[in-house]
Amino acid sequence: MNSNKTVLAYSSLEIWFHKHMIHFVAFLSLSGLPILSDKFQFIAYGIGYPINFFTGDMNTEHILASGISFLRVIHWASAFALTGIMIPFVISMLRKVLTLSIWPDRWGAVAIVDGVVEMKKNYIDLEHAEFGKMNTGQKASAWVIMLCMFIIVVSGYMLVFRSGLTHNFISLARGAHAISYIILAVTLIIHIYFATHPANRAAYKAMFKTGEMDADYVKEHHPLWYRKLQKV
Amino acid sequence: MKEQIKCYDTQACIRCFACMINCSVENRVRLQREGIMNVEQSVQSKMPHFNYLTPSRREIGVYPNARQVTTFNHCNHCENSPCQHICPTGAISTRVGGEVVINADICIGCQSCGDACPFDVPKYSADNGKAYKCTGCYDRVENGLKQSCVEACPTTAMFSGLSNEVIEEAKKRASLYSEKTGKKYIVYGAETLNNYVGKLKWITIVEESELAAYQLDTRPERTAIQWRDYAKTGGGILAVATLVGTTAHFIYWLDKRKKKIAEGKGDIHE
Repeated sequence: MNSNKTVLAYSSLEIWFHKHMIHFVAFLSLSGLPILSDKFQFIAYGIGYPINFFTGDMNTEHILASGISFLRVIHWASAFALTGIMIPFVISMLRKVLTLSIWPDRWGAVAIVDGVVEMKKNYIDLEHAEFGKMNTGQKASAWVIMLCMFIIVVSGYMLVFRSGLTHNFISLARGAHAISYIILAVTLIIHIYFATHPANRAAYKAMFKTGEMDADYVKEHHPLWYRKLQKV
Repeated sequence: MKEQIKCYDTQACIRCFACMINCSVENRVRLQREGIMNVEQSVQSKMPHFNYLTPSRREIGVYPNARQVTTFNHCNHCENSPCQHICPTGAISTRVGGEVVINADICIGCQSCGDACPFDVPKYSADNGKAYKCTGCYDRVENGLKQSCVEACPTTAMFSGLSNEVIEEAKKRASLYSEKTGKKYIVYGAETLNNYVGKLKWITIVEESELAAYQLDTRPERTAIQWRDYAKTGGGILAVATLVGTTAHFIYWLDKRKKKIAEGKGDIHE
């Protein structure tokens, strides 16, 4: 907390990483979905059509192949770039891992039930809840996102550098890559909804602009976090 | 054109490997015919990805009852063709005769087909970045010719034709062998093996107790790929449910907030 009565919610590294993470996850999703499911082949056709228009090959089957080929390059490039920006972020987070807000304030089933009750109070009853910096739902989604990202990165690298690995083994990586992404995508829909919800504009502003939140706002909406800051 | 299938009779096979040689020759002749390579190039280049049939001769049993068996690693042209379902570019299709074929022109070499195939069939060529497997000689079959492997077999250990006729002949042979030897012979692949591959369009007459010796998998599957398919369906439903849920919550939140303000309780989120 500083003299202007603001609280630093996100460091500049966190803001930088989150911003680029959004770009790369968008690129990775757009380029990966047509490979995952034929329901998204329209994306590949949208890319392949101009490519084949200029190369003079307007065979429908070839348009899809061109689009998928191009998207695969984008997918790999985005994946390597994302892994690159992950390195400083992960190192920074690991250095202060024990102080991160992802850990439960209390452990056990009762704590989880209490956390859910507090979430209901805030999101259903629209009353002030006893939240820390992150509520139970945010902590759960943070863990899901981290776990899925880890599996996606490891399995993705296995799919790219597959030389010497058997098809049977790689099929496990392919399955894990897709399943983790699907879980991640559903979690991200929820994450994006709450992040862009008008009720969360203070946190949104902190994440995308200043990194800071008003101390009074924190006191009112995140009392557990406020009390923790007071102790420090 | 009706569905065509091939049958391999393990009892009639004399292990001459003429099938393998004729397959390789046919693939090289195709390259010549299509003007991709001249005769010398097509004969002298190894091109292992064109070896669609890779028979392997093994000994089973203990002397004096030891004997040779020939196992094949070939495309079974599955009814449900998992390779076709996973291919992102639509490079794999099923011809009118039932042959599952890779169109090399639009294969991008992602190797998904190999990962999905429970028989480990599609071969990836690092030379040109494409996947290859048996085409069932669909070009020959659609022009009234037999598959090159079948054409070469001197003992009719390989035979092909209309699905019902081939299965009928295969079952007739299997029951004859069972009767003569007192051991149970079956036609592997004639009945649905599982939901992943369905029936096979390359069936095999084999003694039931020797399925493993001939490396014929009775439960061919790739569990992770099946889970991937379930997740795709489940994920789609879940994503739609999540979008509906979040939209419903937002409408609820707007209404509740309005009521709270009307009651003079203010907006807690301000």
